Formats: sequence, C-alpha cells, structure tokens
Amino acid sequence: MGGSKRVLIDRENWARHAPWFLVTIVASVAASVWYFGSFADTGSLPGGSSIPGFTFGVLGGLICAFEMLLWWRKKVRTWRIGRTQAWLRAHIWLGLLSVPLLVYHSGFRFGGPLSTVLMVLFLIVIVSGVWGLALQQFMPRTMLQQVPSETIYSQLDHVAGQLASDGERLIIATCGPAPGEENAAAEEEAIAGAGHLVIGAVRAAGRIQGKILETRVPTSPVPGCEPLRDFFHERAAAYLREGKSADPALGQQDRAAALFRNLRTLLPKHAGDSVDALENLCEQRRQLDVQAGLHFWLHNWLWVHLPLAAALIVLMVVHIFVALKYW
Amino acid sequence: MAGQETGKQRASRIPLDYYKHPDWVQRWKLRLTVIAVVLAIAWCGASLVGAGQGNRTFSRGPVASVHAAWDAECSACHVPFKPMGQNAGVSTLIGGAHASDALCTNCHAGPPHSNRQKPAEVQACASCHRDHRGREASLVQLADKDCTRCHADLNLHVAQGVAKYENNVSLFAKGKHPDFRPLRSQDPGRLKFNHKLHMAPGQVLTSDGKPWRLADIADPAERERYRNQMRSTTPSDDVPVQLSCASCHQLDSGDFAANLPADSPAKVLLPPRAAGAYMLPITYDNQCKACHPLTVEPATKGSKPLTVPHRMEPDALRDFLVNAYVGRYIAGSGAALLDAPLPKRTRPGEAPEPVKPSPEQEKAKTAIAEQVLNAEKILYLGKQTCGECHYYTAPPGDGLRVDARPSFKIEPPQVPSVWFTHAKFNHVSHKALDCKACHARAYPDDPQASTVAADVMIPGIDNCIQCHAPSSDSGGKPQGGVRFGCTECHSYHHGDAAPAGLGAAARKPQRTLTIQEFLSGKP
Repeated sequence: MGGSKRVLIDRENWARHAPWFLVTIVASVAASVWYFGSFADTGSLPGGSSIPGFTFGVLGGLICAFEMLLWWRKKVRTWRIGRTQAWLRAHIWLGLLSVPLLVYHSGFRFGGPLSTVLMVLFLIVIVSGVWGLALQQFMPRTMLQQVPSETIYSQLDHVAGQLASDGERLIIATCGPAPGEENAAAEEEAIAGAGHLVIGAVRAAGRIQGKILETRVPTSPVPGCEPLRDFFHERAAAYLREGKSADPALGQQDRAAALFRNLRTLLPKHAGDSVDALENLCEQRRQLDVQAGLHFWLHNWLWVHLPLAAALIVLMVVHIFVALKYW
Repeated sequence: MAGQETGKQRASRIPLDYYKHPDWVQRWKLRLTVIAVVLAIAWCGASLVGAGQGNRTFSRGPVASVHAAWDAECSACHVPFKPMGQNAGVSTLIGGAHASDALCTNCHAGPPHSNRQKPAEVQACASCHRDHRGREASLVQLADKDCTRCHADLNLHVAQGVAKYENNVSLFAKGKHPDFRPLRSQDPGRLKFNHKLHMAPGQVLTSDGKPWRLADIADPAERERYRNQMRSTTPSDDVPVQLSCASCHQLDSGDFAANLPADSPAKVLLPPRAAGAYMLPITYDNQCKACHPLTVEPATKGSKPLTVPHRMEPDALRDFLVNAYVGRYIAGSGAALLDAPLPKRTRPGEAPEPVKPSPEQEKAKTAIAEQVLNAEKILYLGKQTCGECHYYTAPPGDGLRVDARPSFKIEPPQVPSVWFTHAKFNHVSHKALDCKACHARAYPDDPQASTVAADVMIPGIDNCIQCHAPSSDSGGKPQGGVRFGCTECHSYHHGDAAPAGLGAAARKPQRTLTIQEFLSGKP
C-alpha cells in the first residue's frame, strides 16, 4: 500500500487548522480578559453563577454537546453536513477552547461531589483527547514505514487465513502432496489445471513499498523438499494463522531470516524461490502483528475518551438542572 | 478451490461491508461507553434515593461551617429556580434576587445598613454573603468592592441629601480612607490625667522631684501587686514606682479582680472574664486607689485612718463624714454623751418638749462640724484627692460651709470605653506588638508625650497602614502584608460593633424556632 498517510495536523493541512487555531486563541484571550477583569472588579474569583461564569458555563456546555456529535457524524457518513475532517477540526479546537471556559466557569474550585466528578471527568477527557491527538501525529507515519502490508484492521484474521492458504498452496505446488493427503493431491491437481498460482507479496520500488499480488507459474514438485514441508507444517502454518503467539521466533525479523537461511541449506537449489515466497508470507504476517499493536495504541485512548465523555454529558445534564433549580 | 482464484478474485476477497462489523477495539469502546453511562445514571439515582435526596451530592460545594447543619437541605436557603443574590448571572434578566432573603431572615434578621440607602440598591443577602466556598470560608469577609461600589462615591447612593460622613472611601490607604473620627476632636472625658507623668519613673518629671516609691503605697497588698507588675527583683521598698501600660490597662479582669474584696465596686463593674477585644474600663479601686487613697485622716495611735469611699457625690459624702466623726468622737472622749437623758416621750396631740443641748453636746457638735469641714477641704481642695482627677460642677470653695450642705457635684467622667464606635478592633489580635507601636504618646520619652487627658491616645491611619496595606519592601524594610479589607474593621449590619448601631437585639429574627425547625430549615 503506497501513498502518504495523513496526520491530523501538519504543515500540509495547517491552512485548514489556522482559522480554528485563531478562533481558539482569540476566544481564550477574550474569556481571560473578561474573567480576570471581573476578578479585579469584584475582588473575588467569579464562580459559575456570576455573569461571566454563567456565560462560560453555557458556552462550555454547548461545546461539550457538539463534541459528542462527532460520534454521530461518523455514524452517518453519507449525510451532506460537512466533511468529517472538518467536524474533527472543530472537535479538536473547540475541545481545547472549552478548557479555559469551563475552568473559569468552575471559579477554580472543584465544589461539591457532582461538580468535582464533572471537572475530573472533563480533564481526563481532555487529556485523553490530547493524548490521542499526539498519537495521531506520529503513529500513522510509523505504521506506513513499518507495515507496508497494512490491511483493514478488522480483516486481519481474514487476511492471516489467506496467508496460510497461500503458504499451503505454495508448499503443495513445490513439494507435492504428502503421502496419504487426498485433499492435498486434489489441490495440486487444481493448481496444475489452472496453470498459475496467486499469492500475496510485499515489494518495494524506490521509496514506494506496498502489498502486491504475485502470480507464479507452478512447476512440477521438486524432489527432496520434505524439510520445507515439515517446516511449514510444524512452524510456518501455525504462525501464518495465529501470529507471533504461535511462534515467537518467526515473529522476529532477524531470527526468522536465520531460520529461513538454515532451511535453504537443507533444500535443493530449485526450491529457493519457494522458500523466498514463504519467507515473504511470514514477513507479511509479522507486519500484520505490528499493525495490530500499532492499531491498538492508536485507538485504545478512545476507551477512555469516549466512555468518560458520554458519562460527562449525562452528569452535565444533571448539573445544569440542579444549578438552575438551586441557582 | 483456493488455488483456482485469480488475482482479481483475490483482491476483492475482503468483504465490502466490512465496516459494518466492528473490530474488538470498537466493540469494547461501545461496551465501556454503555458501562460509563449506566454508572453515571446509577450514581445520580443512588444519590437521589439516598439520605439527603442528592442534595449533598449535587451541591456546588460545602457550605460554611456555620451553615453545615443544612449542607444536605438546599431548600433551607434556596427558593427553587430563583437566583440567589444580584451576583447570580441571570438575576438581572429574570429578577427574584431577593426571593431567598426571607429564608435567611428565619435565623438572622440582618438589620439595614443605613436608613439613608436607596431602597432599590439594597443588595440581597446572598449578594454579599456567598456560601458554598468550603467549610472554612468566611461569609462576612467580603471583597472591598462590595462596600466601595457605594462608598467610593456615596453621594450617588444616599436616598436624599449627601453623604453624612465621608463621600469617597475606596481603599484603606492614606487619601482614600479618612482618618479615624475620634482623632478629629478632643477626648470627651471629664477627668484629669497626665500619661507622661504617670509613666515616668517615680512619677516625677524633674530631677529634683521626690519620687514615688513602693514604700509610699500604704496598702501592703497593693504594694506587692505593683512590685510584681514592675517585675522588681529587689526586695527593697525604696525603689521608685515604674508603671507600665498594663499597670492600668487590662484586657482580662481575672488578672486583678480576683484579689479584690467581694464588696468592691470593681467586682460589679467588670465582667468576670472579658474576651479581650477591648481594654476594660478604668476604675478607681483597681487603678488609682493604691497611690491615691481617699484618706482624710491618717492613722493615729488607737484609731484607723479615715478613708472615704469612691463613687459618692459631695452631698452623700457629707453624711458619711458626719457619721464617721460622730462615731470617732464617741469612741474617743465623747462616751459620756451617750449618758445624756433621752427627750421625754409625748402623747399623741401633745407638742414635744423643746430639748436644749447640753454644753457637752454643743461642744461635740462644733468639734465634729469642724472635722467634717476640714475633711471636705482635704477632699475637694487638696492636691491628692477628688480634685486631683475630677472636675466639679461649681467651684467647691464657696460651697464648703458648716451650716449648708455641699451644692456642687462631681462631673461624670464620661471616658469612652470604646473609641472606634464605627469600627471594630481587637487588642488580642495585636498582642504581639509593643503598646508603644500604637500609643507612643503615652511614653515620657516621646517628644509629643501626652500631659493632658484631652489628648486622644489612639493611633491614626498612618500607624495602621504600616501593617494593614499591600505587602512591599521599601529600602529593605518590609511593609504591609496584613489584611486591609473593609470588613477587617467594619461590619455592614453593625451587629458586632454595638456602639456603632443597632446591636444584637436588632439581629434577632421576628419568630424564634424550635430545635427541629431550626435543623430542618423550615419554620
């Protein structure tokens, strides 16, 4: 897979962020001037019921509600209500703007249990959001560099199964069916009848690297390939299906290379291409493991950000009602 | 079979609707979100059905300790959906800022600040007394702005006319706050007193003067008291008496009232133990008697000194002296007078038989009258007795006659017991300071030492702002840093500065509550 992996904020798209950045800075400064001006005027830090505190509370609450709408926006991708990227930019910058607004609304006090929980949840949501934003700044690039065979995360198991099937066909085509394996014999006949074999592979050309489909012309089975068949059935097949948990050695690039170097010494020269192809399949599987790890770190902050944001909205509604009742 | 697929088939083997099936990261994201929402709702629900029906949970913060009993009883102070005080954001739009005042006045009346305020400008209770700022937060220590919004230009805020005292008070600082009112006039007291003389060693100001020594204090108990106050280490009584401020100015009556006899007027006048904010009143028995006994006849062989009681007007004192001298006469050479025959008893309607005094009686009467007159001259015209400290309503010289009762009176002293009648002050809070820091004129070494009682000895604002000002470091000399807000010295309702206004009675609510009503906040 080639092309550039876009990060949320970089020089390329800064022009789109600049207006939001400006709005955030100007609004924060204006809020600060009003708040601390009121502080100087009254001699005490305005709380949530003061005019500036109330205004900031209303604005902050509206921003929180808007922030949650991003979830809904992602659910209705086909609606023509602005690009999700634009919503995300508003989500990021308005979320940051809500920090001074709601801290000023609090009057720099945690208050009672509900308002304390609200403020703690809010701060965790903000910090987790900033953490997620920071991850989005470098993780995609890392993934692009380390995982050229990147695929759709939810399809990792499916693709791993494909790799295992590719490997099996490759072994049958190279080594022939093992004695007593009727299915394998039928498979060999099918490959021979088709006249070609398609397997996935990773290739690099200059600075571009990615996943390709490789069509190979099957040859007759190479004699003396039992070590290859044994290696596949004993180690590689399980690794291709289950990943590094099944065979940690194959999950490490250098150790896997050593294993395949050793395997080549046990095989006839004609089997070298097949060993290369199998090694390539294992490399793809290793990259899928790396992708799974990176994907987990790229998205696990949402386990904190989204649930706590939802709880925040629920408690905020209660807070609004109570605040208006006991003004 | 798998081996038969083409590259095209292979490339399209990922299902097109894959996005409809979330991966495990997304599934857990959704599960955690549902759990978080359920927990939030459950917490609120549990709070609502628990004790206090959520009032404590949903409170915007702990109330001050004085209101802690109602921490979980919002309706004790709040009227639902009505803003509390003018500071509430929307009170200017929807009104109702005074709605909760009635709940406040269930417990404390909150008398008006001034009857000259513009009624529309009178703030709601909660506008100034802001709660929910923690147990330790003060409800009465307010920002200066709460006061200066009117007092910075008071003429604009009085209902009629102009400000009675000061129009512009914007800060406790020179030029922005007037000097204290007692300093603008003389001491209204009607007593004679010389601080410089009394604070000098031996109470003499000249080198050839005769110092007053401990030995000159007649009462042995008083002599010991002053020796202790002087912290004198010598057992000799020949040392000059050195008074300090505390010799006369006491905060706690326990310091010396305990040693007074049970019938001493000071026992009645002084509170058992004062809180110490203000100096106790000066009384003759406590502070003057040791050195200024009202002795009109010194002790002689066989007789005690004749000392008259304090707090008696001359007319009453005449009777006291007559009785005292009659008793002394009889106890001395006049015992025979008791043997004189009594007048003959008369029947009803019968005129009494005139009694002609015997020559002995005439002699006694003349002698006693002479003694009384001499005693009165000592008391009213002498240097060390009444006239030393008191003023008379008329010159006593003409009024001292044997055949007429004294017609003049002692002027009431009228020494103010509290000087700052429009503010509050606490001596205990200032106990770390040397008295001289504020009352330098009481000391004889001060160039402007006070020699007359008309001098007002309290310090001016210049003295106070040395500490009560913003912190600064002028030439390496630290200045200020002590609180200097309006409410440090002034209280809006004058409740705790009774001389200034309405006093505690005015703060009593119209209807008193039972304990249950009080705790529930609902009368």
